[in-house]
Amino acid sequence: MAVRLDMTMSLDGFVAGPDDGPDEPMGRGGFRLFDWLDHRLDPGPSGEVYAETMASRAVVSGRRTYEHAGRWGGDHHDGVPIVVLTHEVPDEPPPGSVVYATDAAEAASRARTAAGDGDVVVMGAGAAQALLRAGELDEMELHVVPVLLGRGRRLFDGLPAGHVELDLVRRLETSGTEELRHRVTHLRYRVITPSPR
Amino acid sequence: MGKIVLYMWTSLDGFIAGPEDGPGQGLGIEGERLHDFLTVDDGDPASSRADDDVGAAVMAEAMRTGAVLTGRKTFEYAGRWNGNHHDGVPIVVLTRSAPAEPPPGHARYVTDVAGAAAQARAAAGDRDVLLHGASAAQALLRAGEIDEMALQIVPVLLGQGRRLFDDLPPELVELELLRALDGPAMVHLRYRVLGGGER
Repeated sequence: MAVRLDMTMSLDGFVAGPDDGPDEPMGRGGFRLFDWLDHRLDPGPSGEVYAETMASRAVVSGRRTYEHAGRWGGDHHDGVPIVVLTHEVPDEPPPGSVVYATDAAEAASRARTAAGDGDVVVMGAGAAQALLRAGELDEMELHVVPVLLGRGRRLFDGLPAGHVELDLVRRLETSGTEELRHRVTHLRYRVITPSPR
Repeated sequence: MGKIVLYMWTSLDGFIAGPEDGPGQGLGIEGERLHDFLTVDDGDPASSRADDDVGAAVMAEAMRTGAVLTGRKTFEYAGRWNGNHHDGVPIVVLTRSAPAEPPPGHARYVTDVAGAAAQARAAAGDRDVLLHGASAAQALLRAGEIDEMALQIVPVLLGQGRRLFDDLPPELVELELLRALDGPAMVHLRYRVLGGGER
């Protein structure tokens, strides 16, 4: 089992365009990033990686991603536990299979336990950064869309200096005959422990 | 007419140098990691050798270009390449203000982006132009003058430093992946720049 970040980003590293918010969750132009998901249920690389995500047995999400997604109605997929990492736990009880956690290590630990032998997928830039800082990410599956957004919300931002070594374990490419907007590069990295400083 | 091709080595989180880059430490703190795969003699870029065949093939491509286009910062940090980047091809240095002393060797200073691109293309003739440096890349991207980008993605997060893509306008630029090569040291992705898309 692995705790695996699962994110779509532009080649210049953005996971949403500028001015993202409740009314425009992907920011200006940001929905371009999700065009590859049109083929999520089809045979081929994009279908393969999507099926892997949906086979995970727990989800860790940042609060912003969770809210922008309408809290997934309390069920991301198959009723698996959703651990939402938040600075402030809301007063109302969480919907469906959601639990709140205020600490990255605690969130990862709860998700690992809940997933058992299965994988945990991590969603959202905030959660990704928090888990990276806590040394709790095992893998990263990045869907790199061949586009520059120029501005927006970065996946990797506000991290401490000091390098984290990675190992590319898989690269899947959509076919060159695919319509341009559906093309994407799926890169999977294993996170090797941060180098000693 | 050749193409203007950006060649850069970047961390997965998009940095081309670590923090506090400057003269004598062009790659910043820990940024040397990005060039671990390279052997360079006496800072002479023409002597750059990659330790693996895939990296070597990409490097050889870069060294077959007919002109170099770079920014002033990269030029200075690299010790101006002693006036010769490779094979004595013209080096066009994009700068806000040209220094008083004459440029060394095959270098020349140009203060406007379109002019720099035009001069580099003309100088390269039938061959491609090697574009190198983040600031020059950003200026050329804004001007719509980059034809292709050959990005070498090193499997590391640097966390902080100088970003390749920064301060760009909030405009969508569509790309087309032309080639992807997996080397032992990094993945090599080559894109064609298609231009603005629908928003």
